[in-house]
Amino acid sequence: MKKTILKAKNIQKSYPGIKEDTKVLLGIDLEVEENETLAIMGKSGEGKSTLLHILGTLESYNSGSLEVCSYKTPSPSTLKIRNEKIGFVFQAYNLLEDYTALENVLMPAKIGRKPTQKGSEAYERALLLLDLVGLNKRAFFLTKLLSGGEKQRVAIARALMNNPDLILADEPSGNLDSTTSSLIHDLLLSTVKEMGKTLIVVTHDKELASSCDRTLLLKDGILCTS
Amino acid sequence: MFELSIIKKYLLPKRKQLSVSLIGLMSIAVIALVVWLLLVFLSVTEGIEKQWVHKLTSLNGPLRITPKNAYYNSYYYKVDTLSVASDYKEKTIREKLAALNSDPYNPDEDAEIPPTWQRPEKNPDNSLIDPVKLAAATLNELKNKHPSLVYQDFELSGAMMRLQLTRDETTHETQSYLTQASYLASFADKNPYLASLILKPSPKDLNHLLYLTEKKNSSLLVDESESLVKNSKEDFRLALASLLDTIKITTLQPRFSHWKLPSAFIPEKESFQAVACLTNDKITHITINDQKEQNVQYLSSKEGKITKKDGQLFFENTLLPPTIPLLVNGKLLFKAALIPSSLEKASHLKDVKFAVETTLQNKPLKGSLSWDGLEIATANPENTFLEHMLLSQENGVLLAKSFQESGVKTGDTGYLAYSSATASSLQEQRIPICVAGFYDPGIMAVGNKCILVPNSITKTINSSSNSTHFDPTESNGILVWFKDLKEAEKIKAELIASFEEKGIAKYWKVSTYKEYDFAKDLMQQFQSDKYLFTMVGIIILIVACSNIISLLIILVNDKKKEIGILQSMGASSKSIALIFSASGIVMGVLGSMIGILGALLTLHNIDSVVKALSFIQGHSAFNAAFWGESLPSHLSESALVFILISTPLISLFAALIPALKACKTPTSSTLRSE
Repeated sequence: MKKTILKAKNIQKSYPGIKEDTKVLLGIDLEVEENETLAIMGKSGEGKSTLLHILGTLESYNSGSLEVCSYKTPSPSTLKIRNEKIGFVFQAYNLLEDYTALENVLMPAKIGRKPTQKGSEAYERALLLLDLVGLNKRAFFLTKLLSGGEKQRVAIARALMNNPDLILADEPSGNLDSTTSSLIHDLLLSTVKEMGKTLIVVTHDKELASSCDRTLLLKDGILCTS
Repeated sequence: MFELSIIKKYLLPKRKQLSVSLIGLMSIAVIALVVWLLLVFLSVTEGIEKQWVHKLTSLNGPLRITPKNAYYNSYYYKVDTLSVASDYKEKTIREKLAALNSDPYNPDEDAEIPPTWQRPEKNPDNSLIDPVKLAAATLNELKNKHPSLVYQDFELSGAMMRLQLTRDETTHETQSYLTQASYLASFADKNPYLASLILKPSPKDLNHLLYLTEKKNSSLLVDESESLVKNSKEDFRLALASLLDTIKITTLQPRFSHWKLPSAFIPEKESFQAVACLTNDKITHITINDQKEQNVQYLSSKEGKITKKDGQLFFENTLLPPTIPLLVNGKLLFKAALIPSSLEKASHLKDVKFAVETTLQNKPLKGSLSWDGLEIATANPENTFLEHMLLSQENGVLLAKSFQESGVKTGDTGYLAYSSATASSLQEQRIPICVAGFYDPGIMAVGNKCILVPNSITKTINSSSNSTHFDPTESNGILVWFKDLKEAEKIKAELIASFEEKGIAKYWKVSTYKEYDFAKDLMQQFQSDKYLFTMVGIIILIVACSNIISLLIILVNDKKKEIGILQSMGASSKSIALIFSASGIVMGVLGSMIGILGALLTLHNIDSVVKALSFIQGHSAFNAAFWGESLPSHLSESALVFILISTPLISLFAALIPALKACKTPTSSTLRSE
């Protein structure tokens, strides 16, 4: 039997408004198993990114319960979960622009207080990941000098750095042209499959969604099968 | 630590973040400036305070033991006025210490003790308790514990000083008088620090002393312009020999420009550029200009070369008669060594000869010169100089250095006048004195009027005069010296404890230098000034460091997204706060390091800084009377510690607000795509 990586029950989220609160998520129930790839689709403004951020412990929720990699959240271990169990890939890449690609990939290891000097296990893994995403020649380039596609590859390598169980991708190709998008999708899916990770991806891209094991639609604050 | 690499990235100035970089650099510069100012000021004031305390305690001792009224009212003190053995005179502390018998009263010879007197305080063996000897015994006991401890009694008095100032001017002798009401303090020969206060005699003083060897004062006590007469040959030789024994003359110089050069000094076949001064086409004198001097223009003159051939001098090719004087325009400096044999037959200063060497127009001159038209340029007094000055004359005294400004020189003579009551009138008494040297009294209120005199003088004046009576509790006592001033309070406590044990505590008042009446106000003022400036300094430092707040707030706003990225990877709020607070501390520390370096450089070159300040102001920037000859240049350790602790702390507090703002940055919203 496959292990459950993520279990969300009746997650509700609303933002405070001037007259009344804006309810975004009305009760999300979700279970994701290990090695599963899940696409969440929905119109803009439906709360896809909010849901993904809640699942990634970046944002709080009003009610319900959430368990990520057997840890209940929020908990004192939230930072540990973020660092060790979850890898993020954002639409806007969210890289440290003044650092090299290698430094960016190494950052989760550094934050996890792992040795990252040259020759260390983390250093070798970072180089390997950069090689995997096809950026071994760009390792020592400042990320601000890289193209959009290259930046997203660095982001994918960074997300995998601490060998997390869960990869959360928020419209990973939203800022890219169609050719690069499909390359990034292929890379993301193949890497996740190859490494045996769980992927939850928020996307508008039907092709990407169809490549995933399961697709859910976020509509009126509730997840439903498409 | 990933925080360190991020701090490094944030603090390195970048062209892209020009405003942040500029504010950062400015913040560091302002902190450096304030730190520099604080350190220099605090170091200089602390140095001056130390100098001043050193002078104060060297002269007056860090501890002073003075008799209280109980001492003067005691049977022990009063009994001498009844006792024939004491000649019916009260004894000073020195005399009490030297007295063989603590109780000189003899009921068979002396008058009856008045019933109003206090009863004598006795030991268990019925002997009189001797507060002076017991105090001395206590001090001797303390010497075992504090080996550097030295003590000596002191006596203060007052008199009118009149000095006769005879000066050897260019053409004639002049005389003037200086009269000054003065405080007299007994000369503490046991004071181990006195030597550090006594000024080295200046060449002017030494020249005056040499001049005085030819003179003899017929009567020091009479105000007569002709009292200075010529000394006999024997006395002159004796005075000169003993003076030259105590000083080593190293260089001489002509007293006036246009010094007459003996023709023998011109080396054979050597030639010098010279100007012949002509009257009716006849040479009247030859002037050789030293290279350093400007040429003197004459109405009728001729330039040429002067040469010596076969012992005869030629100007160009004209033979110069030996009567034509050779004058050197400019002050030559002669390296000189006394020819001792010349002293044996000398009957005037002119007979004293020196082997000299000098250069004229870069050519060496060598030979012997007699003391004619010359004066000492530099000389090294031997260690015995002061002793010689104090002993060679009757009642050698040391004057405060301010007397030098009034024109007094070492060797000047005069008298101290005081009034003594007789049966029918007040009579002026005079004690002859000779100025043996000058000392630095520091900035004590009465320091400039204070004369150090032999103990016999204060004793004589105090015992015979009532008009100059000081408060008796302050005019006689014991001074105590020791090395470490920090021990003053401890030694005072030990002394009082021991006095109490011996039953003499009620007779003695023990005060440290911080409690001296004449120094207390000034010292407190000094302290308050220092505290006030430190307070102002802290406020300026806070203002300077508060720049860090604005810089870091800009930085936090600028780096919001990066903070979010780091948080998404698991960076804690603590780490984020650490990044920004450490950035603040680094800026504070960097600023203080630059400031400390600047302060060290400034203090190292303090004299040049003072010169520059004086030049800008157009007058001396610091009065030597208050600040000393040169400002202290030692970096104050306490000020340094204060800066090293306060700057990072203030910077940390300044950085805390932005740091807290940074760690409260909402992660999710900063990471959403724009």
